[in-house]
Formats: sequence, C-alpha cells, structure tokens
Amino acid sequence: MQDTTIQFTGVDKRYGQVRALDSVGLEVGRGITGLLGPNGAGKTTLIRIAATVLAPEGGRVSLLGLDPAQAGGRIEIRRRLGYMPQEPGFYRNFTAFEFVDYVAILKEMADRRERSEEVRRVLGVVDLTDVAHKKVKALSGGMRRRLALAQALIGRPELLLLDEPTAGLDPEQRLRFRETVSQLTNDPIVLLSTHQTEDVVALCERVVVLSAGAVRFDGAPKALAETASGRVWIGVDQDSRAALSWRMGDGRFRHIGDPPPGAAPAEPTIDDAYLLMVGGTSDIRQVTA
Amino acid sequence: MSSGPGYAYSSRRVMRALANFNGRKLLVSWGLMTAYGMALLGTGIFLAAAMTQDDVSFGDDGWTVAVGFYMFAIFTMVATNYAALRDRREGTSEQHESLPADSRVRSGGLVLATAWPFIAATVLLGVVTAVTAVWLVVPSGVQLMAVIQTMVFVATLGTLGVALATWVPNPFVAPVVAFALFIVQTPEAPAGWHVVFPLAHLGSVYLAGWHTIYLLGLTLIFAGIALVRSGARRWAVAGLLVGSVAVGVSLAVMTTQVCSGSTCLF
Repeated sequence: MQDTTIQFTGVDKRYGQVRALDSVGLEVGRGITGLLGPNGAGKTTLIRIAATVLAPEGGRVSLLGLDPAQAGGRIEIRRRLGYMPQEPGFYRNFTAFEFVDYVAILKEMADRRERSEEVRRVLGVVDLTDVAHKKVKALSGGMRRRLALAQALIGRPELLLLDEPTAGLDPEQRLRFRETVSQLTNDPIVLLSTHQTEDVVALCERVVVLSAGAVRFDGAPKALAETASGRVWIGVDQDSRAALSWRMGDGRFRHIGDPPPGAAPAEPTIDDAYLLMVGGTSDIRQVTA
Repeated sequence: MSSGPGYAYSSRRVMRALANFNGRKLLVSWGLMTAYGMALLGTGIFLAAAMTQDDVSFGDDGWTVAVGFYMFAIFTMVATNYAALRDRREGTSEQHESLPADSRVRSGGLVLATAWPFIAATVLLGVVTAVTAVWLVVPSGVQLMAVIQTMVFVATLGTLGVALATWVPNPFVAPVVAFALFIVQTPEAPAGWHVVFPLAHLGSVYLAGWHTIYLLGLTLIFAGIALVRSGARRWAVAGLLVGSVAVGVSLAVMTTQVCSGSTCLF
C-alpha cells in the first residue's frame, strides 16, 4: 500500500537567530489543506521543505512515504510533486507554451508529442489556451500566476504545493483559481499556503494555523471559527478593552475579545478566530480541534 | 510511481530533449540572428567581389568570409552565455530545484545545445564552400581545413559561453571576452603564438589538422569546466582530461613545426 501522506515530525528550521519553524509536527493527507498564518509565520519555509528545496535542521520529514534527505527518495518525490512558489520566476522571452514545455522536460517528459499534449492540457486547465503562443512578458499578472499554476500541474502531481497562489489576484481571478483547484481530478494532496481566510473557507477541508513557527491550530475551518465562540460581540460604541474592534457598514462596532457593556454576542467567523489566534493579543489560546 | 504520462526515467533522454529545446531557442535568439547577419555580410562581400572582378580567389579574398564566421562564433558565445544565465536572470532557480532533472542534466542540456549553432555554421559554410567550388575554383586542402576549423571554432566558443556563465555569472563578461578574442589575434605576434590563435593559418594540411584537434580539445575543456560545478564530475573530468591531452599534444606538435629559433615565442 502506497503512502499518500506527508509528515513533519519535530521539524526545526532557523535563519540565523530567527527560528522559522519550531518543532513542527503535522500529517497531511489527500484533499486540500490550508496553511494559514501571518507574514513570517513559517508557511513558506514549511512549503519549501515539502518542495525539497530546503532541508530542515532538525526533525524528520516523510513525503509520500519517501525520505527527501536521501538522494533517491528526493528525486522520486520530485517526480510526483508540483510546486508553485510564492514568487514564481518566468522566462519572459519564452511564450507561455514554451515555458511550460521547458518545465515539462525538467519533469522528465522527454517525448515531444506526449509533452505537447500535456502542456496543452495544463494550459487548458488554467484557461490560458488562447494566449499559449504569447510571450510571457506580454501576459498580465493574473495570467502569469495561472501560468505558474499550470507548470505545477504538469504530470498530474500527487503532491501539489501552492505558496500564496492568490496573492495579487483580483476577485474574478481568485474565483477562477478556486474553480481550477477544486476541479483537480486526480485527488492530490494539496497544501495551500495563504493569508486569505476566504480561500480557506472556500476550498479547504482542513486548516492549519501557523504562528511564530509553531502550529497553533489544526482542524476543520468550521472548528477554527468556533474557537472564537463567545469572544465576538456587536455593540454601538467602541470599547478600548476589546482586543480588536472595527466599525461596520451599519455604523455598529464588531468587537473581538472580552465583551464591552451592552454588546450582543455575534456568530464568529474564521477571520475572528484567526485574529484572536495570531493577532498579537495577550490571550491567544492554543487549540487543537 | 507517477501517474503522469510520458515519463522517462533516463537523464540522457531528458538531456537530449533539453539540448534540442535550448538549441532551437538558440537558433532564433538575437545573438544567433546577429551571427547569421555577420556571416552573410562577410560571405556577401566575397561573392559580390567574385561576380564583379576577374582575379578573385578563395585564398586571397576569402578573408571576409573568415571574419564573418569568426564573428558568428563570437556571437554564438554571447548567445550561449545569455541562455546559460537565464535562470539567474529570471529567478527560476528555486522552481527548477524542485524538479527531478537536476543541475547536471540542465547543464548537460546547455552544453549539448551548442551543437545547434555548430550545425547551423556547418550548413552555412558548406553552402558557401560548395558555391565557391562550383562558380570559382575548388578550395585547396588547406582552405578546406580552414573551413572545418571555423566550424569547430563555433562549437568551441559556444561551450566557452556556457563555461563563463557557470563560473562568472555576469552578463557583461561574455562581451568583454568576445572583444578580447577579437583584438588578441594580431598578425604582429611572434610566430609561435599564432598556433594558439583560434583561426590560425599555418600553411599545411598537417598543421591545420593539428590545429583542429587543438580547437576540439579546447571545446572539451570548456565543456568540462561548464559541467564540473553542476556535479557531473565523471563527464567533466573526462572532458577536461581528454581536452587537456588534445590541447597539450597539438600545441607541442604545432610549436615544434612552426618555431625554428629561440625567438619563436617572444
């Protein structure tokens, strides 16, 4: 029976004095798992370790049952991996087709005819068929991100790592991205790093919240929202005791934290829970659902 | 195992596919476009002279063709250097590190891609030589060896472009080296130095043959230098070893033949 999970056990990583990952333990199976956290939380470091481009300093990593520390295991993982980095690079003077074609060769697709079919398929999946023969430098920012997704989808990877895939996309492009990812037919393990809570709610069966290099929450998005139960209030005045509060469109204030006088409890959202968890408040709670 | 189609777990097949891809891109790059222009300009001047004058010969007037293809080789080096710096320029290194074809395969694909400009130069020079043979006079053995040397020189500078990108990853280095190569080949240099010039005219088929071996040796050395950093140690060492022997032996033979006195080199 083939192992279809990725496992991190006590994974540590430092950049000089900064501890990027602090004994992270995590097991991820098939389906879409959201990796939520603020800037500097360690999301990209974790994704890069899973993409085999960065080695941890401590702990153990197992990807699809293989050890990326071993050369043979690393290559086999790379054959089954699709990676979209946070800041993907492109050959700007190549056409979209040529760029994906080149990446397909590096994915060991040596047969030209089969490779062309696969390139056409992934460009179709991300809706770039019409601009396949345009140079990358002529594509919009949104199209380039879709192109980055296309190169990650070559060969129907079993493990798909997407680092901030919707950063900088307009609402329509984000919806298109969600449609594309949710329609992947080969049921891969998808690890999606983001700080867009809407993406997590829309796409993920499971969410992992990382903060300061440690796992703060691991469970369903609904369970994450529930961690803020009893901590979200709506009142007519702003109250300085609230951890966070803001004026809404109807003129009332939404408070997160302790209830201000006269405020009514409100249904918490994943945003509320996320803010309570990583917002730098003094009463951050560690929760495992 | 992967469920994807068309996977070939052979780095050699992948390297060949990469070489073909990079080679095709090289042929239509701005560097090679300039190279074609230079070669056609030199050839055009020669053919124009041949059509308008009576006493034109390949030996006396063919130097414009040689200079054109010398420039072809130099622009090939600039083009391969530019292509080899692509990942650094566009920030794609990390993406590629996550793919199964490692840096050995990628570097091998770039080195082998220099075969495409070599083939282009061979075809162009072949046509020029054939046209000359039909319309003017059949080139002599020495002249044919000079043509072959020029073809090999394109491959030599192509691999030098990749080697430079590997060890001195700066886009300004290749043009500086190109300029240096152009000005270093001066007829005023002592006779012994002529043998190391890329396109030396040494007067006999025997010496021209050894000079071709010298250029082939340099090509292997540059290929080895380009590969050694990628981790392809076996191929790099083989290239450096065979190339060094070829260069060493050919230089010894040529200087022995060319130099008649102690003032030969200085």
